[in-house]
Amino acid sequence: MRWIVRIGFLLVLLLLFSVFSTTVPYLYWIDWLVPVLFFGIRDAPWFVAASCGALSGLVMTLFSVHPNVAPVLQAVLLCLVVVWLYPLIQWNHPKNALVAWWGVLVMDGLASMFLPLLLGHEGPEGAGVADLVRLTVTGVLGSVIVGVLYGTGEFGALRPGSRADEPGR
Amino acid sequence: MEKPRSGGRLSKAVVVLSVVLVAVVIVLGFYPKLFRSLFVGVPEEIVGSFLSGVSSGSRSAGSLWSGYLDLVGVKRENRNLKKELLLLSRQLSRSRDLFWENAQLKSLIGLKGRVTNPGKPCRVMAINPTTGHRTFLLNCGSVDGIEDKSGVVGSRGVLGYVIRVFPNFCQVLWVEDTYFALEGHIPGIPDMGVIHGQGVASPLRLKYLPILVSVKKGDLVRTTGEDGIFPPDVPIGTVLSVGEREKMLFRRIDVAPSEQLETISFAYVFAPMHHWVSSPIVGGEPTK
Repeated sequence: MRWIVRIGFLLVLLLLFSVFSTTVPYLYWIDWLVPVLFFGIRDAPWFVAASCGALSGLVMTLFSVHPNVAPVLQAVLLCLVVVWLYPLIQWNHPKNALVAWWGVLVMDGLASMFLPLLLGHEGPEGAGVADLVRLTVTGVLGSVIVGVLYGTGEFGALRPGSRADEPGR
Repeated sequence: MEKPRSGGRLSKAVVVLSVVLVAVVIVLGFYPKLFRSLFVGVPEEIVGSFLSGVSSGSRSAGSLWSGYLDLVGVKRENRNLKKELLLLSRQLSRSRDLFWENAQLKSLIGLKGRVTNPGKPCRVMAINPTTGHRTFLLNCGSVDGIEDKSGVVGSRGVLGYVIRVFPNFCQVLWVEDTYFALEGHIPGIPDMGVIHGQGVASPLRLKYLPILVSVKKGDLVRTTGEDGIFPPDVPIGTVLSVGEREKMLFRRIDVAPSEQLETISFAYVFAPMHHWVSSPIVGGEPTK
């Protein structure tokens, strides 16, 4: 039952950010899907992560120009990348978490910006720049979150050196 | 052997000393200033200094205590003032938001009075929180009479047009989105161009204006009214820069949009003037 709660919480969080973006201009520059999924499902089972991605993608189709399967698949792919990365990340040091975070962002950027170009869907000149700004701002926000998680030791994150040699971490 | 009588010698000495003292006092009686300086002044100075020290010490202690009490009071007052300042800042921020919303509503009401097209004022519900196309949701849907491809304007100009309609809300494509395109013109210039979105934080692009037309920075770009979505002369934006393109037929014109997505709260949705049909108008079966 826990994973349903988690998915529900993440969906509500996403919707709240979409509403708050109308009143707080700074929030508008952040791609909330990536941090919400990265920090929400990083240690979830595959099934939970895929469900979470699918539901988040379905919610995001509300904002999509083409309400088809693409946003759902993109969110599922993002979740699976996060879950796949999770055991590879040495969570005992914030540096590794930061590398993982920026790795996911780069993959997301490649998927959202360069893939359409590679496929021949060349966009207007300014579009890529705006997406790059949004990805950078999102990256900075995620780095701050990593810092807070490790700084406070909350949410299961470890301080450097506390249990560094624990297997599976 | 007779024992010396110490008591008698002592009394003699006392008597002699008393006589000398009386003599000195009598002599000094004639010199009161000397007497005062020798016998009264010194003790007076000592006692006075002592009293002054005690008094100043007590005054200093009192002042220190009073200062401490004042400091405690100031600290408490400072804490209260900080709380009050925070409260007032929040109230000010809220008032500013309300003022802004009020101004937008007034502009929209004014706009509603000016335009002849029927429409509906709506409130912005949410903005796309992810990377991708810039769209937002309005709290009006098909039950409110909103239709697909309805033009949406704010208090200062074009916001976009409706691309999907749900029963209770609708989705609007923002003017800066890369999928957005709209016919536009600059008053005074007979040629018309097409406004294209270039992505958020990038200016709009006015395309297909011939290289020979005279366009300058600051010119207003408005709707033509011929697209069936917007009435004529709704502001779209202001010319930001005009690029010279040698060997090209059209100018490269950047336009700053009239509206900013992050500042809008209310929108006015026009009922479309044209009834869009799913079957093609040209080349279709003639209706009987």
